[in-house]
Amino acid sequence: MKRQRKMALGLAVAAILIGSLAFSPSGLRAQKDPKTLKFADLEFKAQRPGMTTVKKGVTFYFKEDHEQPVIDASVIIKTGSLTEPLDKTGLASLAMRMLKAGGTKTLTPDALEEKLDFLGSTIGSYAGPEYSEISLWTLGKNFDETWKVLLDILYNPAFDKDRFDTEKKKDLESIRRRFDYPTTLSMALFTELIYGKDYPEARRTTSATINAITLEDIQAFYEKNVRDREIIIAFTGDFKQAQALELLKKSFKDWKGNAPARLDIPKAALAAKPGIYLVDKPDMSQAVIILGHLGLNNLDPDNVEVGIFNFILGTGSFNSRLMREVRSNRGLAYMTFGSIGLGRDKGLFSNVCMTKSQSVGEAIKLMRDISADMTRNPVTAGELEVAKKYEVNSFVHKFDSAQAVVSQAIYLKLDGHPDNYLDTYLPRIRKVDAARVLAIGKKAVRPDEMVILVVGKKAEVIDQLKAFGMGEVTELPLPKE
Amino acid sequence: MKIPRFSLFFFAFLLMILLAGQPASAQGFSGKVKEFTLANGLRFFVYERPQVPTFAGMIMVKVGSVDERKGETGLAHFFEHMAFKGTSVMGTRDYAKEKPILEEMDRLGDELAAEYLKGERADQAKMKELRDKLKKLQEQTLTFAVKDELDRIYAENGGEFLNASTGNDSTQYFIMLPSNRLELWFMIESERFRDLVFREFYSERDVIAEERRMSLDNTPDGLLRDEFMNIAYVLHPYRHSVVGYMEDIQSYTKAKAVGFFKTFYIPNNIVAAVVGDVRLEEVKRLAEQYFGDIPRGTDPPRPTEIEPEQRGERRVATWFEAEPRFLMGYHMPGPAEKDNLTLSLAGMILSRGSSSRFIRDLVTNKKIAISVFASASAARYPALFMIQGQPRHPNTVQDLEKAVLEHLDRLKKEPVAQAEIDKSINQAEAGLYRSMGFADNVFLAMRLLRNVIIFDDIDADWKRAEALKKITPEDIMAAAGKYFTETNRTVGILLRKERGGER
Repeated sequence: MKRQRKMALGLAVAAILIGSLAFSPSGLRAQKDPKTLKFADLEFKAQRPGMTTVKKGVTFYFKEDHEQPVIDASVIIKTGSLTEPLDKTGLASLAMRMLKAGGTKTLTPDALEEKLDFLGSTIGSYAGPEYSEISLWTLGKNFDETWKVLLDILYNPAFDKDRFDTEKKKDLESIRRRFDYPTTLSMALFTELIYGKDYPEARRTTSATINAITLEDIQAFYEKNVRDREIIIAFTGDFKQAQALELLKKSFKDWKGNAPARLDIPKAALAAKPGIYLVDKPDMSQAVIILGHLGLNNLDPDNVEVGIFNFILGTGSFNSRLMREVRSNRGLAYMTFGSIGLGRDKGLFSNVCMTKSQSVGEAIKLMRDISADMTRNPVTAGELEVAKKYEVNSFVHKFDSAQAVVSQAIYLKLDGHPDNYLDTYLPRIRKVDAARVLAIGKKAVRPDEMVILVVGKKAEVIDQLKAFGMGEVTELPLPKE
Repeated sequence: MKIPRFSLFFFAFLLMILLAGQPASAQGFSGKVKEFTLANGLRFFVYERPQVPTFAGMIMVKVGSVDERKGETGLAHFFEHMAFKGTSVMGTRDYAKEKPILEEMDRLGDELAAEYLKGERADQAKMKELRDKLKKLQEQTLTFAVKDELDRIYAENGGEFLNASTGNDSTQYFIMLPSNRLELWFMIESERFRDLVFREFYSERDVIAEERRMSLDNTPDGLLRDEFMNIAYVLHPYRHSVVGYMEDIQSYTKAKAVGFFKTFYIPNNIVAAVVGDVRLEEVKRLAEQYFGDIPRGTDPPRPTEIEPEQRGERRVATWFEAEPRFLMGYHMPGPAEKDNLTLSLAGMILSRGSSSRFIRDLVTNKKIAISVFASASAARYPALFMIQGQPRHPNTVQDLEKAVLEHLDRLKKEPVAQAEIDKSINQAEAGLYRSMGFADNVFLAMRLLRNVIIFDDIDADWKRAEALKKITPEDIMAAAGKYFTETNRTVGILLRKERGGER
């Protein structure tokens, strides 16, 4: 692995401080002020993983890292839940999990699990909306055995009937437990209010959709959407790239690598009428508040610059306005954050906080005012400077591990970002000024079109909500699933 | 349990580390990690990993909720919040003008606490008046304050993952920075513990009250765990949660907090790790420069309570709007005893991996539960062997309890197969490497320092994994027979209120 040049440590360290010799009486000690330390920006060039084509429809990304005797490998398949029919929501997830849970033609499910556990290896498989993954983690010494199991899963899944029953029952129980946590409930409902319940981002499994899925559906999903589909393979860790490439050529000799059919992503439109929505949870002493509307597209021309807006609004922790005002200055919440999210068609613009029932009204007003202000007034020079410096100096953390370098490169590509995205990232950040941040606010935030969701104890919050004068408070039933 | 300052995610990471648990093999950290100790007793551990020009810095203080006395629960965690409020030159424009106001606030704060502690006889009007006055003074301090300046300085310098967490056994402060900011870390970390100003002391109570509501009172698992611990222990301070009782949170005095700080935040009670693209000599030089002149303190007092032997089963049922949950615990010996390791192996055989006994039998085959997890403790003091599970409807918590007990009985009666032990050893060895991954340097620092705080040996997790090889099926049978007894058992369940009768 290429060794990074150690950055000019010391060059930038100004010897401002009077050397504090040991035993200097603390009463006489000059106070040390970290603001007096100045450092040069860390010059760090975006790292790229190795990349090569194994064959048509099979691409290989890799980065060796020999520090630890471990290997991570993933097979990313261009398939996912966007292809499943609405009345069988949950099919892709169940199918991907069944690849492993259902055993293979030569390994019963029990034998497969036993084997992996004995090796101390893990294999996981899951479905995303557009891309799904089977990944393994193993000690280097057990890689060959573990890789064989992964290939077996990919080529010869057996979809054991009893395991199918188990997986379905797990799903049904998870549906029963889905809303046990107020935060999960709130996020699911907010997403549904914004996108509408059938939109891919908001769609949820129900007992009906899970019960409708048959073993034949699972097999068909595999045949049609997994087997011979275009894949991307990622390796990081203690392997040699030349040998890995040979292995992949052999492993996928007969894999067809067919490109998926083009997916038409439906246009997102705000589904609910702006206003206040309430779910009554009489047992809660703290309410969850989420307010916002639709966000921006992944490929929006401001998709990097929006990071500065978000830092100042609500992702910059104690440097953000939400944290500063809602938590630090007023003690209204422990947790609060907000951002303009990017998404496949449109992400979510959301602001979240959890506060005691008595302060719900105050918190909503505060959060709304904070968003609104960012559409009307430029951010301060100080705020802008902190946000930009943070982006510049923390850029290096995006490349903290081999896995980060590889998975970042793959998903940037899959999401349609240009190849030079990371190279242009900092130059774009450096150009952001207050006018640009304001323009992003004006473009993406609509203070008068907010959907405001409150999940909490109605008896204690309803008067505060009515006092907003935003029309009727719409009460939503606690969904069963 | 660990409670972070502002992110629940970290809780998951910590769990991951603890669960990855007993890592393994003949390797260890000692070949890679250099250690030095300052004259004042502060120990530093340096792990040079030059691959990427960043480093993680972590300060771990041997103080956690276990070190709190009755009436001051949550103080270790409360103090952790205070440690972000700045110094006499950081977080203020004019400390000289700010100071008298802070002192006046303390006077009022003491009065308020005294009134609050009268309980039902407290004068509510007086309390409101005091709170209003405090709020006014707090606003006055804001004219001098530079809010959250520590966070700002770290952010501007590319700090990532800035956080702290408090657990039962320790409190840790950590961050990742570009490697050319090493000196910045040293300056901020030494000053915040030497020249700390307790700002926003009274308003921070509200934040922590919200934290308690969020993490314990309004979540099924938090609520059940809190109630469970309150009966599983009668005397030992592991019984109270890290965040503390609401009643204590509302009534700490500044004097108590300062006293706590002076007692525990002394160099001979602190260990530090720097992991990443740094050089040992540089770390040594800066450590000497920034931490060298902090005077050594008196070794802090430690809990004097020894948990009495449990002589009868204890049960608690609590209500919440959520599906049923189940917790079971048995008192077990601390890490110095061989049975501690034996029970950790038993825990792995029961629930580590899809082929483990609980998962295979109860989740996959009988489908009684969707999750059941067993784990032994390795903490500063003897703690609990815990089993937690979520039954699958229509199975009840009672069905799950019965099935779990059958498995524990089987451990007492039948020797486990040697293959199960071998499998667990392999998993433990893999686990040693597994807990590295995202944010490697921070996790390595955490593991190192935890080894030091709990076991006083940086290779402890490796050695414990190696020592598993000496445990026999008979050892497991004997330990199961000794500890998994009815009178040593505590059971907690959570049910929906309307199903209160559905036992």
